Amino acid sequence: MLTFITKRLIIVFTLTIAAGFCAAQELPRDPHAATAKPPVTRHGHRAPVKSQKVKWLDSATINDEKLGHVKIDMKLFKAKAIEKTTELSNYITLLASKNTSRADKNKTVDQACKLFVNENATVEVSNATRSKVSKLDIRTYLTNLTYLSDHFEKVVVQYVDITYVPEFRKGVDGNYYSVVTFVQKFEGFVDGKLSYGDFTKKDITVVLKNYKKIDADGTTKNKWDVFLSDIGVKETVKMVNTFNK
Amino acid sequence: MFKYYISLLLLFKCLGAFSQSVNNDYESDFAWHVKQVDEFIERFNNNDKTLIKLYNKKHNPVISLTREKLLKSLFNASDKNWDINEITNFIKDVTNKKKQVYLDFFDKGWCAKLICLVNWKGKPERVVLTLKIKKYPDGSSKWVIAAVSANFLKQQWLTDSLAGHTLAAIPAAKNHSTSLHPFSHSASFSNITQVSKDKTNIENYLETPVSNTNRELLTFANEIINNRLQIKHAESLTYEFHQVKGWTFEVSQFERQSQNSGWLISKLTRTAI
Repeated sequence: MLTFITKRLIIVFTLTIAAGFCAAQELPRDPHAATAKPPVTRHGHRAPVKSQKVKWLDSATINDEKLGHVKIDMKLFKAKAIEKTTELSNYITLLASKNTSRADKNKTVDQACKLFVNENATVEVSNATRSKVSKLDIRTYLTNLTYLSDHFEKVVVQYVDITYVPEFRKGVDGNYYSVVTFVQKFEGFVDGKLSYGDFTKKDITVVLKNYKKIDADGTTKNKWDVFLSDIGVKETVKMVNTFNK
Repeated sequence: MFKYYISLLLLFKCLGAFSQSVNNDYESDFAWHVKQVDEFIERFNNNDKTLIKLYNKKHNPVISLTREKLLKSLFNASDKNWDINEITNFIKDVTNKKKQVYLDFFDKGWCAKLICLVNWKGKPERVVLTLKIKKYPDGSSKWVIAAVSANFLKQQWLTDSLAGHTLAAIPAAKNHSTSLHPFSHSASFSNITQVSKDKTNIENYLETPVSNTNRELLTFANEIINNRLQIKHAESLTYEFHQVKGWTFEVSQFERQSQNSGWLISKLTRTAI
């Protein structure tokens, strides 16, 4: 019997490995796994991991009514959009982790909120058919995430190594807008077993905003920076859900 | 005993290899997934910088993604009722060597159809908003409501007409910077509630000037101004394109674990040229 099973397993094993080689695709990176330490950010937390480089329109010269001719490095700001999204993902990992103290979680919520254009930004969570839709302001959404670790002894958050960022478009308020779309894989473990797992697609609106900065010599300079805004979260695939049973 | 351990080892290796295969499939599916209508337009136009072409170049360089292949991939393959001849003719018209057809995000020949749940006089109702992109000479743009459709609004207009009430003109906005920004569609217009919350600037959210014949839109605006209607949230979103001469097509969202997923053509209709 054992020989019968072993022979069948050898065949399946060989075919599976062969399929893996034939697919010739890379393993998705998991730079954001909750079990791994995130790198240091500019806010004193760990810095984001850089995502894949994509070739885009390098720069755009705009004729702004207030600022005159301004050259905006679109390549830089697209990279910044992905960087800030990654930073938010790192914060989410910290918030969901059991290893982060309540005090650190509260600080992390404050730091994460600073990534957003303002705290009126919302997170709208819907299922695949949009029959269930819930909308929360960003602070409430992030605060709710801090309680995830109460339900799971371990949380692993990973990201598919593909992000979609279309060209920025100018809004009537003078800001430039785009979106970062990516997929998050979430796994929660109870008693060492996978209790809940899903893939969710996230669409994060990003805003390229002009602000004035006073330099050390007292001169005022026009600066541009990317901020996050409304988030759409769509549940795509549930891997397992014994959590709610 | 040794054979037992070997069997267990092989079993775990198989599961690990299978898991790796699942992750690779998911990544490939997501690369093909049409994530936004912007990506739909990029693929339709065979844009060399579109994500799927870059992904394909990296992972499957031997496979060439022609415009015809990309166009075919933009149809919802799970619909078994397609007329293949129609699709073939459509693709032929789009890729006609004498004059290829390209979609333009800022063209007036397309719109978003948004079904919203609203609260009207304390009761839940549904409205269908037709939204279009409006572009300004300085390059800025925003989404505006061009039309509204709802039975209760038709009834309200009739009631007002019979009672001799005339709809008030849309008041001028006090702050012209508020709007539905040009990427509002990317989060399925989750910010549509702003239209009823920002009533003093409601003009910013409508395609102006609003014609007197656009009764449902005028009634919709008046109900909001008079605090009788509040938008709760958007329920569903589709797009309609009229930019290809002789054709109209509808684009809907298909969320599924497949390379044929995301924003895809759900309906294709031949129209009079």
